[in-house]
Amino acid sequence: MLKLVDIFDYVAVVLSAGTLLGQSLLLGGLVFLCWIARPSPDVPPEGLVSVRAFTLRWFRFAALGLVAVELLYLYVNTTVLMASAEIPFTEATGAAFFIAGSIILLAALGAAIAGRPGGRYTVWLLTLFVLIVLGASVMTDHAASRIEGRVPLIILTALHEGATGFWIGGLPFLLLGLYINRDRTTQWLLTRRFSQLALISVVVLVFSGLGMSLKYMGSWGALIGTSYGLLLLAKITMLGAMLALGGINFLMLRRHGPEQVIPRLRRLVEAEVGIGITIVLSAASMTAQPPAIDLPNDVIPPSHIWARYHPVWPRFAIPKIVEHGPGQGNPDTKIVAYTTEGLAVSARDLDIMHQSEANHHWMGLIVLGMGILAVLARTGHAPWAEYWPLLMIGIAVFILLLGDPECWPLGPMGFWSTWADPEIFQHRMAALLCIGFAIFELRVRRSPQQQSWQALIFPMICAAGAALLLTHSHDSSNVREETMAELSHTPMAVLGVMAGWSRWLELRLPSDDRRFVSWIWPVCFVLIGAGLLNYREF
Amino acid sequence: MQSKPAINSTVQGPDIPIWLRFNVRVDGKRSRLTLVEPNGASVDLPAPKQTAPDILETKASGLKPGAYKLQWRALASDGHMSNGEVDFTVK
Repeated sequence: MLKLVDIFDYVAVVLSAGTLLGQSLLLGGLVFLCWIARPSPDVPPEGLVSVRAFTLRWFRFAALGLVAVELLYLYVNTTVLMASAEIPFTEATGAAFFIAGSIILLAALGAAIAGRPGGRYTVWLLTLFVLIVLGASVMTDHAASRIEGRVPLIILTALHEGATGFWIGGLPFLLLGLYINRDRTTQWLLTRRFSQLALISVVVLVFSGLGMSLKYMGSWGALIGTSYGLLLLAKITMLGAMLALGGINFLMLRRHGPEQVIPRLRRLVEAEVGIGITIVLSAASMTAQPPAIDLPNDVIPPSHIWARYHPVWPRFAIPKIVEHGPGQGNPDTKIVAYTTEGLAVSARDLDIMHQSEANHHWMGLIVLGMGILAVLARTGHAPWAEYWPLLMIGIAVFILLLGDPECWPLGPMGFWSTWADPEIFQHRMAALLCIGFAIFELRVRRSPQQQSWQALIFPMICAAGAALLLTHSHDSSNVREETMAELSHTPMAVLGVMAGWSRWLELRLPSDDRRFVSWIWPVCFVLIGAGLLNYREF
Repeated sequence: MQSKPAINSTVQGPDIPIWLRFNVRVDGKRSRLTLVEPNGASVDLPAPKQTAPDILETKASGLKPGAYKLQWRALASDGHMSNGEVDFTVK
């Protein structure tokens, strides 16, 4: 049951992200409906009518999506509470999160029903329901449980989540609006109005975020010395990328006309939506972590970080993990060392850590190779380097030969006789998937014109994998060891997000504008490879 | 988190008050305190009372001398469940 609780804990983070995403879409949809797509004497009225109808339809989908997410959230969190506190369901229903979640669920359902076209009080009802969703959601944030400064923190959180909703939640509706209405005058009006809203939202977002950081961080060192601080840095970096894209949009809108701006703006907004969703995911991860100020004794000092992660030659030898039976002096439990963060390590633990490091280092070597070849290919002087996706077959070979050291060729177990083992089966399926993906991506690259939609699969997988890495927690009995793991994984996740969306833009932007972004993702690959090669557990 | 008995402290038995102070508001009704006795047996302590939003209080009675472990599982107001242990000795 406890294992199930661990899995549910992770699912709860993903569902919290779903709640934040759902509420952002409701806020963004509402403001788009009431403000961005409001009637204007400058454009044909029928154009904005169709945009509003389309917005309302997708707003209702988002509301129904939030209902589904909230049902799952209540189920998962209630199960976790009942298992960990050993209380019956009736007692669990009195918990604050259950009450807040139920309110969100009912308000989202109300918004989905009230959003029917032709209602007399539609906008007022939607506003009421969306405000209820926002209010209840804030009550499941850190702010609600603080002892000191609770009310200011609740207000700052509400402002922060509200601004996030207006900006990040409004972006998908802007994309839909530009898609449903091809009239340049209407598109121009929508983008200019949204640009003003985005500007105000960013100011509120940054200042409220700053206020919360001052209250939750406690020290500058906590920025890199705690999981909470690292996630905050990841959020700030991704926000910087979004602001760069938004800044380009802002300047384009003020310097050029609709014919030049709109085609480019749509592509940039696509990437903004993707990065924005990832920011919301990392925000959900942050709510699952204790604020740094609550862990004054668990902030990792820079000297410890340097001791763990200063560059050393990678480890490529994979140690065998020997299972010792009883009566052999029990070497599996005898402590032989301690990590810099005080985690006791037995000889067997040490072998497992070295094996994990070697796995990461082999992967790093392959990813570094992919990145270097992709950089060479970008120079235009090495057309053969375009075959870099074939290196993914190297990942498959590694998994097949070295991923399960207990099997042939490293261990005593046979290659064919171990297919029935679920874990080994999964590893080998992943290896086959790598081979398939390598061939697929290579084919896409050799004929990009014919398979443009297929080309988008690689950046999407890259960005989705990176986003998953940001929500993935490294369970450890030692908080500081958990932070040490995040120190290596969080930067790689951010680089993965940048790689995915820069490759997306390279494919989607008009050909004249691709040059700069086409360099970003290969460099990110190089940095991810270097990061993996320097991964350490001890 | 602060506690009485404090971590690794020695207290006079056989009856000892248990006091835990958290850095967040906790839901006392849905939080649990368990005592692991020197022989390894676990005993649920009486339901904790709350004299403040961040405090859980209860008492353990009839404790014999030895090493004890207080295990706590607390539900914060924001819905997060956390747990921990306090080792102490009764003389």
